[in-house]
Amino acid sequence: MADGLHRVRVAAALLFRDVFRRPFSLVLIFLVPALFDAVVLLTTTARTTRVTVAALRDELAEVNGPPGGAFLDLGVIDNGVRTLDQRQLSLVFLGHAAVCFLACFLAFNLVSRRRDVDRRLVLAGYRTGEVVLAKLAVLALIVVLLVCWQTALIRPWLAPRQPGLLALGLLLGGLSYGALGLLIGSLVRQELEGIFLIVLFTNLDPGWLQNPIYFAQSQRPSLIASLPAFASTQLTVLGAFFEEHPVGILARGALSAGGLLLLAFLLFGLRIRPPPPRNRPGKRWLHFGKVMLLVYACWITAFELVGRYAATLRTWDPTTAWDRAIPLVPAFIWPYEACYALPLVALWLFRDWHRFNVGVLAIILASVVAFLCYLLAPVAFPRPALGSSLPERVLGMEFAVDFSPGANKLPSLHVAISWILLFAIWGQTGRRLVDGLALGLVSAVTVSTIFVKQHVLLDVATALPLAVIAFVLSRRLYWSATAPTDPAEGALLRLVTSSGSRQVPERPPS
Amino acid sequence: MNPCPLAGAAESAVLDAENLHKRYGRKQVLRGACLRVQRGEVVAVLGENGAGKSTLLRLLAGAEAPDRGEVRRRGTSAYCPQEPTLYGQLTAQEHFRLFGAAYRLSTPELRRRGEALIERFALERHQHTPVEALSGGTRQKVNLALALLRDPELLLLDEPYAGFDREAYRQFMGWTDEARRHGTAVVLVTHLLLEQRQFDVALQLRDGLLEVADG
Repeated sequence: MADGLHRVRVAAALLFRDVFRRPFSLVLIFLVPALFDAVVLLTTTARTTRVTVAALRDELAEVNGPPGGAFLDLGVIDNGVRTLDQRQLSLVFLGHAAVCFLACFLAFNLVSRRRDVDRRLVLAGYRTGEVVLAKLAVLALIVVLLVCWQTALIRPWLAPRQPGLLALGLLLGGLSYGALGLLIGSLVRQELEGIFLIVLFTNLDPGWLQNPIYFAQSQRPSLIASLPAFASTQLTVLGAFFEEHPVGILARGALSAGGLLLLAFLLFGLRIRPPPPRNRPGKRWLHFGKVMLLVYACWITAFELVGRYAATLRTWDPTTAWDRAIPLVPAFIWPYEACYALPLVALWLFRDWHRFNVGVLAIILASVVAFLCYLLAPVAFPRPALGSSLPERVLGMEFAVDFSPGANKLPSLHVAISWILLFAIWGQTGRRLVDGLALGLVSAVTVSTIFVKQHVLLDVATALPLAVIAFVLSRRLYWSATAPTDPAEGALLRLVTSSGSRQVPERPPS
Repeated sequence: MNPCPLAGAAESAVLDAENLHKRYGRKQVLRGACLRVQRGEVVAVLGENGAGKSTLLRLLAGAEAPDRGEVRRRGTSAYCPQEPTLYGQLTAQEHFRLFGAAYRLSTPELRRRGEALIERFALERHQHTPVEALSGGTRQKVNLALALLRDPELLLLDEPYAGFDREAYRQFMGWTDEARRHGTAVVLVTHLLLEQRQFDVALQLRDGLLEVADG
């Protein structure tokens, strides 16, 4: 641990030097924000203007939590319409945009041209996570520097009502857009394309759409509110001009920046890590991908048939008082939807394809049990009313394609299959970080089913033991008919045709 | 599978690569290349431009995975890529610190090895200059020195002396002699074989396969 920390410290210190010895970095950090402010001072007047502060608007307040809930307790005044000094507002808004732009560009620069050297470091003996942490430290330092400088530049023209909140808004904006820069740097090979994307994103989002003046006239405020710079812009504006303490927006900004950073560093880590030690020929991946597609096609057909029939049966409502006390949180639709990508992610993580077979067998077993439950004791429960925000619209689509009045709920296959996939991939890469992330994702999927009101507590409580039992039974069944030396290809088919009559040496399943 | 061009027991080999296949798009670069290297052996891999020498070395170093086949390395190894792969604004000394931490070298060990390499490659005047400001040949020396800093059991070097002056080349060849005596195995990719006697064996990469070079 101490050894790892030492390496992170050495790498972070030297990478920081590598960035800041480049005179262009310093010019960017110190000159660009000053230039932005100079342009504002030269071109704007101190006239007042009417703007809409989204965080103070009731429509958007609902985006962050249940209406009237404690999660967002701002109090709605004039539906967010306020009168502000145009020059001061431009200084704050463009200051935030400058921080986002520079953080994005410098973060891009931090990974884009250095990818081969970062890879070499990992090959030489750094753990991938150590290089990732070193980069994170450098990015955090860059953003802090930008925030300090930007705050100092604004100070002579504006005394912020809440300086801490203003700085926090700038920090979250810088981190969100720093993460975006890392993502672009990890995905795009050509520098010119990367710079184009940075200019495009920073111009569109923090540089244009988040402007409170523009927001006041916008026909699609919920679209603007779903962009990465929304929460940080709101916090910056609130910190500069208002006294409110926006807990909901703050949580949202932190979640947005944290999520983007996690995604960016995950992708960056995947880019620089050496290939897995075990040989994974492409044809095997393709073979098991086809098996997965075939199983999915059969499964969805059976699911639809069972659901359509079950929806015609007499149902009962398993909703409890605890379920009624849980609010609808539309933002949970994202982890809920992430479940659909889990099989593909799992496919990519498998090293031992026998484990894939065990996982598929467990999914079949769990589905058979669940289908029987759906037919024998069909359930249905009322759905909440939805608003017009983006997550609510996506959730509305889920509701629309679901069975009416309800079917295929108890036990939740969404939860059971996610956990079976987790059991199957657990330990496959030999990296605890990957296992931890997978566990986090599956836990989030599980919780999300309750908060988007697709399932009730009983659905989840029955799905978890179903997943465990199905996986344990499948493992026994599979290894009772398969030898460790048998090829994984076709093993499931052999399992069905041999009916377990073969004598095979016992293998302790990994 | 073609027979392994180097003999010796697989158990004692520091590097054992079998049946390596690699394809980029439509181009099949390696078609079953095979290689076994024992302690203290210095092996040259020759081939025309585009024959797949660098690809082979990346697979041997673990920087890329083969489509088929297997690479087994025993003990510590270090890899020097063909292009200088360095942080432009860091100096040679700072690179030594960065890679010294990767190799888990203690501070006195790092200093000792760093000084020896700086002396061997005449980097005294350049050791505190950001590598971006150095000439191509000097950057290549730093690039190579980072691999040699580890003192590993297996060294994989991709065109390590491209851009070297005569003295640096002579120093490098002197180093390979020492490495051989010390028991370090070296696999060196080159498109020109200037002094065949420096190598225990020269292999030719042709049509994606390795074979013992003629003459």
